[in-house]
Amino acid sequence: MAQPSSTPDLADVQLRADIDRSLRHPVMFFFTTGALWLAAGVLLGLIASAKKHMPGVLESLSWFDAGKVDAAHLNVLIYGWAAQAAFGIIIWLMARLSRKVCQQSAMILFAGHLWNGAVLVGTLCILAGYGSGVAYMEMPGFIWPVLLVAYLLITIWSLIQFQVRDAGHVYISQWYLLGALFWFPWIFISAGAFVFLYEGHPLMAAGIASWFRSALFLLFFLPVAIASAYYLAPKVSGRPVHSYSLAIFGFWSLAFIAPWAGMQKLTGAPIPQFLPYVGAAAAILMMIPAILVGANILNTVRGHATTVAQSPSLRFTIAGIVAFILFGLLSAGLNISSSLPVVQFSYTGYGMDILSLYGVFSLCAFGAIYFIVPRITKREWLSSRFISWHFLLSLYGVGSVVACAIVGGYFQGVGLEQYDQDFLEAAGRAQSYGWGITIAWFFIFLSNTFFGTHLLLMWARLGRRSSHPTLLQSHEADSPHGPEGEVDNYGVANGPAAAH
Amino acid sequence: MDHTRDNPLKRFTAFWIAIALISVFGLASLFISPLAARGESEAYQIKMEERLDLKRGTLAQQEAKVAEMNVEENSALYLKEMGVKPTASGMAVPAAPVAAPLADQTPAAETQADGSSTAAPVAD
Repeated sequence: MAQPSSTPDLADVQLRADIDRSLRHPVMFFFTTGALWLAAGVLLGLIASAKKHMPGVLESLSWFDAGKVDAAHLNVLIYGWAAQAAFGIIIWLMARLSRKVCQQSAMILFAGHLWNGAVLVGTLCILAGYGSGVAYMEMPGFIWPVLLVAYLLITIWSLIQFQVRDAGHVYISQWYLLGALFWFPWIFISAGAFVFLYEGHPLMAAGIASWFRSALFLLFFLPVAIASAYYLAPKVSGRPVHSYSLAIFGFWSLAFIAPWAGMQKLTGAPIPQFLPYVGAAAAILMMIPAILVGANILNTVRGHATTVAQSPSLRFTIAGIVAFILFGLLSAGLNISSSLPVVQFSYTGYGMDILSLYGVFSLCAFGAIYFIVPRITKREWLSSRFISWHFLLSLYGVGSVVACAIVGGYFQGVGLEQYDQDFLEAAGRAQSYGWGITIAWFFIFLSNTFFGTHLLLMWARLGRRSSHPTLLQSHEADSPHGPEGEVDNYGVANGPAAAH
Repeated sequence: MDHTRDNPLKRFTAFWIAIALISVFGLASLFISPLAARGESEAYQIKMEERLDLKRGTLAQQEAKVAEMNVEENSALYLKEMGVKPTASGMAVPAAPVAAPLADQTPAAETQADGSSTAAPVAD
C-alpha cells in the first residue's frame, strides 16, 4: 500500500529539487542585489531624515541635497529593493505552485541585470539633479521603458508556467501572483505614459502620479506579500488555510477597492472634486481586505505560537500581516474628512509609505527569503542570532519610524492649520519626532547589515551543511520544518495544504 | 508532465497571449490619451484673443476721445483755470500756497495747575 503513494512523493520531491535548481541563480541574484539596494536605501533614508532636522548635514555635497536624497531614498527602496524581492518571490512561488521547471533562467538573469542597470542610472540621475520631480516616479522618463522591458522578460515566464501547469487546483497564492503580474504593467504603463509621454494637463499628471504611488503598493507589492503569506502560513504550520471563502472575499475586495485609492493625496487641489473623495473612500475601505486577510492568516496559525516563535519565515510573515492590519486601520483613520486635511502636508504620508513598504511588504519578503534561500542553495542559515537581531531591530526600527512620523506629522499638521502661527513654529513641532525617525533608521540600517551579510554568506554557499533548519529557539523534535535528515529537505508535508 | 497542457506550441501561444494582454494596457492608454490632452494652451489662446480685443478696443476709444477733446489746444486754458503756471522748462508747476499770517503762529496758551494761563494777553 505504501509503494503507490511513496512513488509520486519521491517524484514530487525530485521535481521540487529540479525547480529550485533551475531558479537558483536568478532568485539569488534578485535577493542579494535587492539586499544591497536595501542597505543603500536605508542609508539614504538616514541621511534624508537627518537633513530634515539638521539641514547642515553633508551640505557641501550637492548630490546629497535634501530634495535629491529624499527622492533617491524612496526610489531605491521601491525599485532597487522591493521590486527585486518581489521578482524573486514571484518567479519561485509560481514555478513551485505550477510545478514547472524554469526554462529561461538565463533570460531572467539578463533581465535582472538590465533592471539593476536602469535603477542605478536612474538613481544617479536623481542625485545629479536630473530627476523628474514626480513623487515615486523621480527617475527620468527614458528609464521607464527599460524597466518595463526588464519586467516583462523577468515575469512573463511565470505567466506561461501558470498557463501550462498541470490541470488541478489553483492556489490562493496564485490568484494574488497573477493579479500582481497583470496589475503591475497596467499601472506602470498608464502612469508612465500619462506622466512622461502624453502632453496632458500637468494637474492630471500630478493626480495620476498620486494614484500610481498608491497603486504600486496596493496592486503589486501587497499582493506579492499576501501570496507569500498564504503560501508560508499553511506550509510551515502544517494546517490548511482557515477559510477559502474569506480568502476569495479578501482577494476580490482588494481587486475592487485598491485601484480607486490614491488621489486623496490631492485633496483641495484644483482637480475634479469627486476624485479625492473617491480616493479617500477607497483608502478607508482598504480596512476590509486588511481585516479579511489578517483574520484568515492569523486563524491559520492560531494555536501554533511556538511554531511562529521558532520559524524565522513565519515570524517575519506574521509580523508583516499584523502590520497590514495596522495599515488598514490607520488608512481608515487618516483618510476621514476631519483628519485628512490636518495630516495631508505632514510627515504622516511618509510614515504610511514606510509602513507599507517596510512594515508590510518587506517583513513578508524577509519571511519568504528565509524560507526560499535554504532550498535553492541547499544550505541552512548560519546564525539564528543574526536572524533574531534582524527581526528585532527591523520591528523596532519600522515601528519607531511609523510612530514618530504619524504622531509627529499629526502635531505638525495641527500647527499648519493654525493660520495665525508662524510656519517655522508649526514645522518645529515635528523636529523632535524627526530625531526619532533618524535614530530609528539607524536601527533599521543595523538590522539590514545583519541580513545583508547573512544573505551574502549564503550566496557564497557558506551556509550550514545540515538538513535541519535554523530556528530561532532550541531545536525540538516537533520542529515546524520537520526532523533532522538529509541535506535536501523539501518541506514538512504535514498534510495536503503543506504539499504545494 | 501533462503533454496535452504543456508543449512548445502551448508555451508559444501563452507567451503571445500574455504579450497581447499586457499590450492592451498600452493601447487603452493611447485611446484615452486625447481625453487628457493639454487643453490649457487652447483656453489660454482663446482668453488671450479676448484680452487683446479688449485692449485694442480700449486703446482705440482712448485715442478717439483724446482727438475729440483736442487736448493740446485746450491744455493752456485748463492750466490757467487750475492756477498752474508754466515754467521755463515748460513743466507746469502748481502755484505755491499762500503764507499763513503770523498771528496764526502764536503758541497756544499753557494752562497752569492753578488754572492761570502763561500766555500773553491777546489784543482784541
